[in-house]
Amino acid sequence: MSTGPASVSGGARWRSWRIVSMRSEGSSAWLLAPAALLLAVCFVAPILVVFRWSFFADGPTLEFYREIFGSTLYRTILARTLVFSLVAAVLSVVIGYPAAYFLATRPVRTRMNWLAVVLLPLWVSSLIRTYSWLILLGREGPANMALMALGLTDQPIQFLYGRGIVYAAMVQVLLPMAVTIMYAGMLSIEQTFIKAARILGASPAYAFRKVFLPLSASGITNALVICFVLSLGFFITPNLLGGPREAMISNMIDRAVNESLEWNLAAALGVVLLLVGIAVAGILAFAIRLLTSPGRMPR
Amino acid sequence: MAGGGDAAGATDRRWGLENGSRHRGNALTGARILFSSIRKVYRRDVALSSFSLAIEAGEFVTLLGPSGSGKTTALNILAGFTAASGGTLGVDGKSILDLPPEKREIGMVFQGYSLFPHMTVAQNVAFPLALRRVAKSEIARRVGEALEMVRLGSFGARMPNELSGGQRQRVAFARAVVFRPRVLLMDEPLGALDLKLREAMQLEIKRYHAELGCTVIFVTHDQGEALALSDRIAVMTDGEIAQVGTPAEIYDRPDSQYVAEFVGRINVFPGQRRPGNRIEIPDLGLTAALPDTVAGAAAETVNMCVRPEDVEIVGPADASGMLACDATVEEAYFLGDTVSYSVALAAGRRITVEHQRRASTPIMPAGSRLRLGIRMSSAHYFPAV
Repeated sequence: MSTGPASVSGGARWRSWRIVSMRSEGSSAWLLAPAALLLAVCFVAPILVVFRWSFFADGPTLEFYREIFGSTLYRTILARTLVFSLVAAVLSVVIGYPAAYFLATRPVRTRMNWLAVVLLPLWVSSLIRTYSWLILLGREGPANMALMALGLTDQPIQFLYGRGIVYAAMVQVLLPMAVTIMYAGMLSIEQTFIKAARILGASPAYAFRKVFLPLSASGITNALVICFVLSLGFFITPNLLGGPREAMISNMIDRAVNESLEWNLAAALGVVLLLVGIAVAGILAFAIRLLTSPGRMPR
Repeated sequence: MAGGGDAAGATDRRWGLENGSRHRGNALTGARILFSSIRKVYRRDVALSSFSLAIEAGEFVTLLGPSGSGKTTALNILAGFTAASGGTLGVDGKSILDLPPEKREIGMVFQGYSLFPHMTVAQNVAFPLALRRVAKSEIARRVGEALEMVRLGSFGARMPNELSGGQRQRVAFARAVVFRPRVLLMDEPLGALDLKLREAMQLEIKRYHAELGCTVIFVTHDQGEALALSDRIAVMTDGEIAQVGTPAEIYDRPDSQYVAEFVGRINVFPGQRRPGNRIEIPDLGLTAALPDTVAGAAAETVNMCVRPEDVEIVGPADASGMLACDATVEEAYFLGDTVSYSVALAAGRRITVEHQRRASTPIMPAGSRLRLGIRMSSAHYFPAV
């Protein structure tokens, strides 16, 4: 048809679009302002205060760090916190990955229903969920009652106050998070990638290993790091379900703040937790990338 | 993959790879493919009902049809992504319906290219070779060759997201043929490209086909693409083949009004069968002799169909032997080499007339009166449904 006028108007449209995009490029930074302000006041500033407290008593000092690293108790609890968090995060990711895969490969129509099921537990606060473990698994709770009624045991089983129940409760809290994070990452993987790998000669397992897994690696890393960092801060769960022998670093911070009123020590514990958390998260991210890379192929 | 080494060895021998030379011309021959009564039924609807098609070795066959016509289903059954509900499917006489996709040795170019985004161009192209346990040096050589063929020799280290649409398309092609499959499937491979690039890629695809000699099954809804590329076209509708033939057969001798309307454009004149094998066409205000080949009952409604380029603009005197009619131009669409006129016939029907033009040909403005002539031989007759 009339190619002349169409190309002119097309060119004009293109130019005006470019002007709009250039303008918005420079001036859209204000969109960040509310979040940046909130973070600066409520996050960065307190952290700086905590850093300061951990290094200053009457003058600059390292005594609080010396106290932490010189004490077997703190070293043990720090190590335990790391192990708990790492194991809980890995368990959440390992258990959550197949579920996320299932969700991501559903047809769009049914996907949302499945996602709602996964997110359902988040409607109940983790405090209530933790207490419900206490009720469920207590000496006279329904679990023990049922087992005794069935004659499987003649004495109540000690479910609570141990490492196992802490892991179970932590994973239970973390799992919806792990699933949704990995699911979101998997949505960007086109289903035809697997088809392409298959027709090129790959078995389902090979296609998964070389194509799907590497492409879902960033989701795994995100889930792992977020679950790990969240775990570091858990303290209701170990406190209520694990008992004093399974205390985590957050419980020690809680005690230093609320009971012994050693705020500088609490600050130093907080700083150690933060730095160790960042370091481990970095190592995890690197390890995942290494583990899931498609391997060396000719350039 | 168990037996991968053997398969690679067999593949290499088949193509005579030992000499390390390029395989041009028809040194590589495609496979024969035979669909017999292939059906695919989903819970509620029939995607493919008794699809039968014999494809010769090295042939370029296009499945042409609107979406939902079953063309992609047929392709997916051949690739092994969809299980057939019935029928048989043979490649070189051997049934492949029980084989998983990875054992079928079929190349495929996907609509969205499906290049693996975490691998370089070279790694993408090497993927099928690494699976077949081809030696490292051999992989490097063949990847280089394949990229050379699609004119992307220096792009091996790029990531797919650093390429333009046309380049991705060509990488997808290189990856699909690098393991020298004897059958290549292409599912709307040019759909995402703009017009100019699409035309250039059509030429490229013709060239690849000539060089590789493999059997190509091409799926598209674009009739222009189908006409330009194919040895034969299978026009599909509602899970069935409406007509199979060369592009010229499909365009010049459509079997049905559906094919006539889907491939190219066509004007439809409803008519009534009259005694003596004649047809009365009220729109033209005349009665004409029906060809003997158009059989049917008396008084039945028969449509006369004429392509826009077969409606000629004639002088008052030289319409002898033609069906002639007066008309008024309503709108003229200038297309460069042709002008497409929307004209109103005296009886009121609006039809399209395509008129070849040169620089000196004037364009008739709206309101111009003209006389149209249709050669009897260029009319198609179909019983009205």
